[in-house]
Amino acid sequence: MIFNSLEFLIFFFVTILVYFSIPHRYRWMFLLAGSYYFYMCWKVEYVLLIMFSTVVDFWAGVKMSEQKTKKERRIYLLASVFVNLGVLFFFKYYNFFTHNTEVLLSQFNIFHDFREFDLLLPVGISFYTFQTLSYSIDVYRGDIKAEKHLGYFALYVTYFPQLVAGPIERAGRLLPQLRQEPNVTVDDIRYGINKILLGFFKKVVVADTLATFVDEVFGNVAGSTGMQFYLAMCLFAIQIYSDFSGYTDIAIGTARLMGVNLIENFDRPMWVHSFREFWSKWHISLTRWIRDYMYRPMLNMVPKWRRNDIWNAFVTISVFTAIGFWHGAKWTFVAFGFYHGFMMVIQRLLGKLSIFKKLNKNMWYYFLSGVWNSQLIIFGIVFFRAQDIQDVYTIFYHLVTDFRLSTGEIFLAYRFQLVVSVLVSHLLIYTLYFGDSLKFKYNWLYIFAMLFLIMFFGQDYKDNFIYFQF
Amino acid sequence: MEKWQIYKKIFSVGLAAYLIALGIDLFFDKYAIPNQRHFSNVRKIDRLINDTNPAEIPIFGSSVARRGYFCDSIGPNVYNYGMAGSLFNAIYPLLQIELDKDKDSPIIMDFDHHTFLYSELIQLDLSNYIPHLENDYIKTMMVEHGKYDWSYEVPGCRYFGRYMDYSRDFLKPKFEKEEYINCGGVFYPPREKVFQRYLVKRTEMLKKKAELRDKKSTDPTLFNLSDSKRLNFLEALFNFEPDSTNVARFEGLMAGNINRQFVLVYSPQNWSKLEGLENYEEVIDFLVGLEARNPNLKILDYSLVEFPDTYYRDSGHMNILGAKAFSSMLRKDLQPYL
Repeated sequence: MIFNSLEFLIFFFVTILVYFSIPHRYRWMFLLAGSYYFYMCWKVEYVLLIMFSTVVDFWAGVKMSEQKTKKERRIYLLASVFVNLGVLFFFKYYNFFTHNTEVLLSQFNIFHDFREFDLLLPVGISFYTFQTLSYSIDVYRGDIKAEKHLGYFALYVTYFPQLVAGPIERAGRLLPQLRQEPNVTVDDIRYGINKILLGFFKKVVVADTLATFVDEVFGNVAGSTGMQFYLAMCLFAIQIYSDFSGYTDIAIGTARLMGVNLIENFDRPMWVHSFREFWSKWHISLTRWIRDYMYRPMLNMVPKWRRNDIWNAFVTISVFTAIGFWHGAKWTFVAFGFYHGFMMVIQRLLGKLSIFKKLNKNMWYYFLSGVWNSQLIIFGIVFFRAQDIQDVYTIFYHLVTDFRLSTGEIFLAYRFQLVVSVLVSHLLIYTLYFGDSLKFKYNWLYIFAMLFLIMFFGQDYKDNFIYFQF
Repeated sequence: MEKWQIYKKIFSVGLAAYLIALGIDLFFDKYAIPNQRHFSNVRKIDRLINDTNPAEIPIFGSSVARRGYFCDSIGPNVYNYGMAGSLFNAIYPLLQIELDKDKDSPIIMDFDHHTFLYSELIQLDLSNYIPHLENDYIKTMMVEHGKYDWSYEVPGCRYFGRYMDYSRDFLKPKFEKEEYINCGGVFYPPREKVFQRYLVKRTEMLKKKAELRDKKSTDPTLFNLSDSKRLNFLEALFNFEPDSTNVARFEGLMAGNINRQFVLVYSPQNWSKLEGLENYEEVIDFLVGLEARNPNLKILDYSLVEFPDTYYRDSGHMNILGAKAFSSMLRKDLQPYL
């Protein structure tokens, strides 16, 4: 059940109706049943997987809470990590590893066919795995107390608004909110409705409109020109932002209507002055997860006084490569992560030079750094969108050798899609930058305008949200 | 906040949303869709369902038919029902609608090596069919292709996501002034540069196909799933792979309507299209066999007619010059059946 479907709208209104009609002590049961139903709409069997992860992590949490020292808790943490990452590895990365092992062995004249599994990737597995892992690690560290109520814990893992594409919530934030009876205010309702409308606008109007042009160009790698690729790369950057942040907005808005505050996952990340700034504004919940559970522990493996630029660079690149790999079992995602890590290191080293320290204070330099950093991020988006490394090569080859700045070339194909894409992209920018003042001054007018835009310009693009596949 | 206040605020937005959706739906259902230009696909299907002229000779096919058959040059009462992207799976319900009519005029169907292809990659433009869901043949076709959704029959929701497609028809005259219109056919003006650009694209796709095949045979371990999908797509695009169900359905329609003469026309093919088609002989064998098995079928083969490149818009479609020249040739050959 995707958010942009009639089924979800019915599910949503029924949930709201029942949620506020029943006493708070029964709400967790209702929400849990609803969340399992929501998840089962994709594939019924995979609900067993999420239940298995839930039970293992609940058990590990309870057992860890019974131990006094970290050393005693470690075995249960390892069990939780092993099970969660094991399931993730099997469903997401197994075929990738076996295929690449075959390729590697064949270089040494060893030919072996590993068994491959034709499995459908469980929706949102990377998100809920990271969410449950954070719970186990936090309990292990003693940052939070273990949850003793299996029902609430299961609801924390499966809470339907953020189940399939985040934001990745920490137990310390979400569990108390689920337990406590919410005091829903007028502001919560207004915020929730506006957020949901903005999310639908971003998804069905902006992302899905742009998808038609972007899919046409990237679907015809051999036949598209450099100029078309460049436009498609720019539009894909807007598409993926609108798609993912649109989903998150709907999730945040839906939760808020039930009195739950989810973490903001985006902060207008398309205009940034460095890669570091980009990652502080893009998929914030993942960045923070990586920072707390990977980056800092890895950095701290070497004492502070012994750390140097090489160690910092190694950790940064490793962590970002892992972020890339988290997105999918493809070399393109590995390259995407590596590129971001590499750029981060380069920018950090350049930032230490006195000339750049001075330049950073210059207004024009600051503006220009916004331009080229956006372009560098768009450049990296090719790794994210291309089907494989060979396509990445072909796209860059066309960008360099077949870049003709002619309107005839741009409009040769997909003219209508391109014109509409550019128009809705502008609409998004105005909505993001002026939306706040509009919606608070003229709330109903804003709501009607958004509803009209969504109904009239929305696309019936039945493909899932891009981030569901991760 | 009281429970009823929460309901009131949330459900009032829901109600507003539905009313807006219903308003837009009504505008399109009652005004915008029925007033599309007569050669739009929606209107063509509407015409096919409601037209009762017993003398009308329909031409069915894809964009090749839409762009290649100039009806005034063929004869009176001929109407071009060609619709972009329509392979046999989309033509089938149209043929069923036509054959339900009490008529004995001939039926012309354009053919090229894709016509009977079945592939999951085939896209149906649902905006053509949703306004006609009350027709059982159309509905069955959508169900068969997994494209039917119950929301397509809910007022307010049925056209969601397609309003831009319908609006596009109103915008088109502003952009496409140079196109020629004739009895359902829409024809491109001659433009040599455009042809050259498409030719380059086609050549690159053929090169890609050769590269992938080479990779598959020489280095199968490096040939991954994405390569396999792309090669399948390119093979389907360039080769003749008729789907037996589609062929059987076509033959079934002919056998069940022996009073109707079917004319299958293999229209002129640009050299660049034929160059990519590796199993041309199989196409011809297939057509010969089809004609032999079905007494009310006549095959007219113009595939090897050597039109100059200036008669083509791209390697797959003729322009106005090609369409007129071809239609004049067709007129003579169709005389016994008109």
